[in-house]
Amino acid sequence: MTENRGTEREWLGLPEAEAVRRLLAQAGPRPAAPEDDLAAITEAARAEWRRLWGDRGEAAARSERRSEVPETPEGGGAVAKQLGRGAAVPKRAGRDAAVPKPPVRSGAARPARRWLALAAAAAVIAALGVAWWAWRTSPMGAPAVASVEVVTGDVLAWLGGSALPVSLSPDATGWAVAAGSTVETASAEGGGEPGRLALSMTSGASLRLDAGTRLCLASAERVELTRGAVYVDRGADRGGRPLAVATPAGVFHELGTQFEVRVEGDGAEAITRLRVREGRVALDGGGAQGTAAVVATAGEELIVRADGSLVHGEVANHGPAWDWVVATAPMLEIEGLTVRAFLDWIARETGLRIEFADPDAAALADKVTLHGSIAHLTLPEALDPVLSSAGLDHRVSDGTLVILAEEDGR
Amino acid sequence: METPRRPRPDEEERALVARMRSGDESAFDDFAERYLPGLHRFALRRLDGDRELARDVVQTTMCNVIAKLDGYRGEAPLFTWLCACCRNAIGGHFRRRDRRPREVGLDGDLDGELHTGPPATAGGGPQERLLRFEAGELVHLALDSLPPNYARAVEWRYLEGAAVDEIARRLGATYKAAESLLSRARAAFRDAYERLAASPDLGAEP
Repeated sequence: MTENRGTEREWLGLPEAEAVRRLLAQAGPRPAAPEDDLAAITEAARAEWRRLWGDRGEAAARSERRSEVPETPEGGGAVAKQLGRGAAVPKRAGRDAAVPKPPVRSGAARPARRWLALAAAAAVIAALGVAWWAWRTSPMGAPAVASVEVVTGDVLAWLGGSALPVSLSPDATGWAVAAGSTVETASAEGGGEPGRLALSMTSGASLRLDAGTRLCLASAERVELTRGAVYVDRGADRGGRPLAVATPAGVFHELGTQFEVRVEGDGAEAITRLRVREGRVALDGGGAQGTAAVVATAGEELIVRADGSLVHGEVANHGPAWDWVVATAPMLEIEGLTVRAFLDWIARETGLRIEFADPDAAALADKVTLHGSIAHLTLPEALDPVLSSAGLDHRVSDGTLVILAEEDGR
Repeated sequence: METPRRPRPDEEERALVARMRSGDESAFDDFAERYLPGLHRFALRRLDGDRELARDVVQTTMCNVIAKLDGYRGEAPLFTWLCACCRNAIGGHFRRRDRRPREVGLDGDLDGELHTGPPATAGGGPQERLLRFEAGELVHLALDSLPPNYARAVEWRYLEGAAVDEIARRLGATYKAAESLLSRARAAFRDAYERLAASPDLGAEP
């Protein structure tokens, strides 16, 4: 029996049914997809779907959180007012909350984004256990040299030199990273969501990777920057061991400091740029480009061209040049800290100087103890609610964060 | 009495996405069941049959798409969107690895290059075989983009040569209903094939 062809159209010069028959005969049957692969993919995708959409209450909460970015201290009910001697900062959910500025947390509706191959592995790994993954991807005996502190956007890691990358999601916070691991953050042009990463080195330094960066963690004291930018902060107390950043232009040795090294371009167009925010950095001049040894100090910018020539410049220790660093800052655990300690952290991360408008404001900053967490806020988001909880306000003027009692600000 | 209008495919896909966004897990199941096998085939074709890599890329694509559900407006068929996302993921993979997939050249032995989906019939020169391979992939893509019952009916009828009454039996439908479904499925296949053939994004290698 045949189907009714009374109204059949022509296609490819044949009756439609005949054209379809010939095309299918030529193509052959569709190859069957491996059932076990499909099952694995489905479960990984299901885990992601559940995390993002599966709980309507959670989805609604996400939406609500996006709308409660604190424009003002009173906005969104973000902060409880001072309670007795302490100020409570209630938890806000998710670093995925929208961030008006800078834009790195723009993935409000998609808090965890994966990038390329294996990105969904984060969900799988979460299900299977980090230990399994660490076992699988780390060579025997490779020591942990860092731990993951902040992940935004698309970030891949070849853990312990594994040939297979794993996508780091924000849930990867706390993961140990073994010596020999390589991390790569997506660039804006690379097809994924621009990624950024903060690592805490076991040697004591805080590392931040800007979008479009590829970095190998050779050891706890040495990293190798192939492209992009890395920011190093040894900490205010200069604790731990110095960190060296190897680049095509040579090795940068930090001498108790905050600095950024950026590698851009290829071949004759390649430049390596150093910006020193605090302290000093020495370039050993041992790079393939025959660069001369040089020491740069705070506020100095040094550009090493592909031919080894050096260009000196200046850079402010605050402002847009450091926005990406601020946006990637691991958040301070404020429980039990004074507002003064919080402000010291703000100053270190932003490069702003702190000034108190009057003695009352300074006294409040010393007296008020903070409670709660800002772990799920960004640094720019945290400033208003924390200060407000202490009865303080602020304004930024000419590189200075001026702190004033709230009544003074009105 | 007026017969309720059958939802158009784009309406069905928008509704499916809306259900997924609303937290309906059965919608996720429908989504995975309908699109995942075809997406896997799409990836495997472009990855020289590298099954492990295909699994990773498709997983990435699925998760990316799930995260981007807010952005789906139904302007392109869902399967086309999935394939475009998958193609981006594959392209990104090779960019990152700083290597290219083996090219499907016009000369040389294609059998050594392509691990999956060779033409159903052998013979002919390299160019002819390549063209046939590409046409074959378009056919498979077009089938994968159809609702599963449409794709199955088309394959039963035009690949296996099953009679309409046999198809009706398999579908648990009447003869007239099966005939009607076949007619719609054939038209949908034709539309999908022509759309895909005209799409610069889906035909080319990454």
